[in-house]
Amino acid sequence: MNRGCEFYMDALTDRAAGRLDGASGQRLDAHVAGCEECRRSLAVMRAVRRAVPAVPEGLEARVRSAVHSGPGTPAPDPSVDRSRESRLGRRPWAVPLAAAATLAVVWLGVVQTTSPDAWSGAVVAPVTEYEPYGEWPAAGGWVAGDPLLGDLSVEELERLLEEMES
Amino acid sequence: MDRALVDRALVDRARAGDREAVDALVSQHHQAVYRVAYRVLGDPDAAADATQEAFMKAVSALGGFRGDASVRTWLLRIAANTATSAGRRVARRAEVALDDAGAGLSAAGPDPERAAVVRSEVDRVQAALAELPEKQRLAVTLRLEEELSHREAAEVLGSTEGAVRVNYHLGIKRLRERLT
Repeated sequence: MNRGCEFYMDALTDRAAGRLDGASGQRLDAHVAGCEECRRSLAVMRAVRRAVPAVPEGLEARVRSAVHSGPGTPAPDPSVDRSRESRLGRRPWAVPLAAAATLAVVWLGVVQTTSPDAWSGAVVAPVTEYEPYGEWPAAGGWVAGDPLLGDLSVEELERLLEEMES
Repeated sequence: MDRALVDRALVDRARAGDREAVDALVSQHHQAVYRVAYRVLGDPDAAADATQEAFMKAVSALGGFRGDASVRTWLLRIAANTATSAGRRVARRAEVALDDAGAGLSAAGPDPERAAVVRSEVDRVQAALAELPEKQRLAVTLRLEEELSHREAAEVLGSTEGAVRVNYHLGIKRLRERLT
C-alpha cells in the first residue's frame, strides 16, 4: 500500500457503502484512479458487502417463541465479557508491555514518515489529527500517529509493527 | 423517528412487560445478531442457536440496560460474547472427542471436496473471510456488513477504536491479497 493510503480507508468504506459523494467523492476518485491498491481495496469492500450471509428461514419466529417462553429472570449484563477481564487478570505484565510497545509504534511512525529535512533542527509541529478526506500525509512529513494506538493490545501492536516493517 | 430513539422506546416498553415491544426488537435486530454470530462461529446452525441464546440473555437483562451504548451495539455485543462462548464450548467438546478417540489426524484444515465447489465470488469471499483471524473478520464485517463506525464496532467487540482500525486495515489487506 502506498504511503498515506491507509488514511483513505474510511473514505473507501463510505464509497463502498454508497455514502460518499460531492467534493470528497471526487477527491477519492482522483486518488483511486491512480492507485491500484486502493482500487483493489474498494473492490474487496464491495465484494464483502455482496457476500452478506443469508439468515435462515424461520429464525425470527423461533427467537420470538424462545424469548417469550424463557424464565424471564433478571440476569447480569450479558454484554460484559467477564472472560476477558479474567484473561487480563492472568497477564499483569500486559499493560506495561503495551505501553512500551505503543511508544515504539509512535516512535517508528514518526521516524519512518519524517523527511530528512525534519532532523535538520527546524521545529515542526507534529500532526495530532487528520481529516480523513483531506490531504495526507501532512506537509513537512511529520505524522504523530493515530492517537488511539495507546489502547491497542500487545497482540495488535505486534501485528501493527509487522505491518509497518513489511 | 431516529432508529436509536425507536429502539430505546421499545426497550422501555419491553421492560414494562410489553411483549409486542420485545417482538419488535427481535424483528428489527435478529438478522444483524445472526450475522455477527455467524461470523464468529462459521456455522449456520450454531449461529442460529447463538442468536436465540443472545436474545434470551438480552431480554433477561433488559432491566440492566443503562443506555451507554445504542440498543443495536448492546445487542451485537451480547451476540459476539454469546457466540464466542459457544465457540469455546464446541472447541472443548471437539478436543475431548479427539482425545477419546485417540485420534489426531487431520482435525482441521480445508476440506478438498468443499474447496473444489467454492467457485462463485460469494463463496470465495466467505472462504477468505473465514480464514481471517477472528478480530480482523469481525472488524471487517461490522464495518462493511453492519455499517458500524469504528467506535460502534469497538463497543460491540469490547475493544478500542484504535484496535478496530488496525484490525480492519489488516483484514482488508489480507482479503486484497487473497481475492484480487
